[in-house]
Amino acid sequence: MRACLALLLIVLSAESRAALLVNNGAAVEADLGLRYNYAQYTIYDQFVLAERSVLTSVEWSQFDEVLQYTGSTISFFSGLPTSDTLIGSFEVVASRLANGLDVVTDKAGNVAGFDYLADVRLVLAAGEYLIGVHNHVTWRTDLDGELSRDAAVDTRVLPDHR
Amino acid sequence: MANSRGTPQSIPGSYQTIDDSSVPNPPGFRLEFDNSEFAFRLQGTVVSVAEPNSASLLLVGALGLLVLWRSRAERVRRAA
Repeated sequence: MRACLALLLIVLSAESRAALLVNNGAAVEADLGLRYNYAQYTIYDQFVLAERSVLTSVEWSQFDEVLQYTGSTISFFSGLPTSDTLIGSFEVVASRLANGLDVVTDKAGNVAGFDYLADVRLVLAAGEYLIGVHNHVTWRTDLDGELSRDAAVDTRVLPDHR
Repeated sequence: MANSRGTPQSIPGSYQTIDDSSVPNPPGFRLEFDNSEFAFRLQGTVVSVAEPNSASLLLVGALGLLVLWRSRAERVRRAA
């Protein structure tokens, strides 16, 4: 009987491997003005889940100036982002790897692309949601040196310089 | 815990941004409704009764045979 149970567990576990639930597309190698790292901004987008699911990880791509990454706030909303629609919020330190992409911006010159990956755990019913990503960085430099003097200052309190 | 920086005012059409650089320090949010921009992927598991695949069916069949064989062996042992 123990062998039967073990085999049954193998069958069930094979059905519950993590899968790609939402793919919002690959990074576009262009200056789109998305501000993941700025004090006042969170990037939001909507997504649709076809079935009740357990979200286990979030991966996203972005372009960064030279900076010191310390963490991200990843939030999920049931509608337009307000405190009333907030379902869950995660403070995470994502893994961050250069993806080889590159964008030339008018303000910061060349900025490199990075893939971020963070673990979350959230059960969501089938439906439409919004995800928000906001990064925390401890310093950031433009190639023109505009912000280099702000090294070691948490940019969460810095004004936008664009 | 909440991370809703600013309150959305309206979403005309399929895309909206309010990060107008002419506005100093605007309420901090940007909504992206253009699927080509915010490149993200979500991974996880679907919580539902899984559709049986061929490997699962084979294993369940093997389990059934094993149970039948064990019960038959038990009956034989008791009869002996």
